[in-house]
Amino acid sequence: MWHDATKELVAAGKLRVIGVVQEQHPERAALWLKWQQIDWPVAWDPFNQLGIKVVPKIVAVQPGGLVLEDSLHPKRISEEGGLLEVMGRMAGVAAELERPARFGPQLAGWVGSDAQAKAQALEPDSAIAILLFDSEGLDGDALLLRLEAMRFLVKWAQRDQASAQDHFRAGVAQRMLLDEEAPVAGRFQAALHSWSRALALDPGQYIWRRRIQQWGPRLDKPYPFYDWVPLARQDLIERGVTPQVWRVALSGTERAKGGYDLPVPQIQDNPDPRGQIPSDQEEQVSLDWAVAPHTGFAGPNVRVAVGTSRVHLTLLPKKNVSIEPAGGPLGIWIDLPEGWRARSSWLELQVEGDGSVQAPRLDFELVAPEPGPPGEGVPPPPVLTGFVLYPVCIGESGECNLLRRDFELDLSPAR
Amino acid sequence: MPLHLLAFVLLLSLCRGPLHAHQGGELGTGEGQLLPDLELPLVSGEGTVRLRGEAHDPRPILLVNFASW
Repeated sequence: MWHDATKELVAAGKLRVIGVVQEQHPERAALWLKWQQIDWPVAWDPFNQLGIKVVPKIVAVQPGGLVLEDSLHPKRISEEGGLLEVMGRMAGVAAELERPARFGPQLAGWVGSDAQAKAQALEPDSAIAILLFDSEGLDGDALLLRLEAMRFLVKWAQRDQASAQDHFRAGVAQRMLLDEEAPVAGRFQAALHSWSRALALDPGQYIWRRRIQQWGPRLDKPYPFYDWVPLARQDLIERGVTPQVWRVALSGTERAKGGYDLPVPQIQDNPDPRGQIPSDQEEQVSLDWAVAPHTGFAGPNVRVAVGTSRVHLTLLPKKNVSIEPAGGPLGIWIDLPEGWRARSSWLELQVEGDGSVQAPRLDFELVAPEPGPPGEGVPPPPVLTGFVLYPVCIGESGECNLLRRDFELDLSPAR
Repeated sequence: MPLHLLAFVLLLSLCRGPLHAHQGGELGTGEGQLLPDLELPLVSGEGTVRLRGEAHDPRPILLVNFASW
């Protein structure tokens, strides 16, 4: 809408339009821009340095940085006076920019050799700058420095006087590193906990709320987040454009449409009711859990039962262990507590990856029963129990077996 | 100070424009605030952009904050 409305003014050199997205993954916005044929420069601000609380937000800025209007509506362009009137007030001032901008190329010096020494001198701005730089093609030292920058922001958020923003940024950094490195058990949950703490401290921050909702339950989605991606890819291919291959695939909940319809349970038999399948005592496979809570836990307006969430599970086999889906059931059995809902008690994992890096995963919706009337008493923290089955082959000899891991998963949101 | 010198100083200060009157002001995206002077990477991964615009560029800026979701 804004692109069409401003096209002529931009072409005539009368106006500059700059987009900003606060999304975690820049490549998704890049695909959307290509699909919509939008050619503005669009900045990536995942740490929300601008402090935006909600999007869309259109800001009219005088050259040099003074904000003249902070909530322009596209109708202003077509109405009499409209944007031209605003621009009239904006024009004629070309103030000098006296200081170098933050996070500009001057901070490129943070990336490169001597990572150890630089890691000793980190502070929030430099840590964020390091993480904002494109990680493609960086050497080992630079990647080590990115890891240190993430650890710094996590530690920064652990101070007694840490702000809600500090927690949010620690979450962004953890998720960023999770997407760059080989999967690390617990890191996604740590990011979700950081975002949850941030939102609990500032429930009116909708950029932060959306970050949790991105991976959260369908019940909590104000709209589908990335359901447009397959159509965009298809359209681009038909136009002769090859879309970029993404490092981070969309999870089930990111593709899902929002909605209040509860999952219709499918009746399935417990594949190991008597616990006869051998237990994975040596932990050949790690279970990486992450629980994205319904954001109703933060703020007084939404009353939702604690425990309603989207549960994410990724299996992380040891180096010499491979998952062999043909070798038996690969999935998770959940003991649904009385009154709880899920698509099924038996849920199959999807195998992804190119064979060298296997990380079977799934995400599923869990709906807690409606809370009782006020004064009935607080229910105990919800814990989900069950087991995971996975067929594996171990080592050069290829000893193969079907293994079982029991689990207990705390569903309480972090505060 | 002679009157004509005082007038010259006043004129100079006016020519510096309204931004300078706000440079000690609050940073933010609200009306009357100064936009944080951020240079951020482009989502395409190809370069950076300075949100306040470039020095001596007289074009006003529309900053469109949005999301692809």
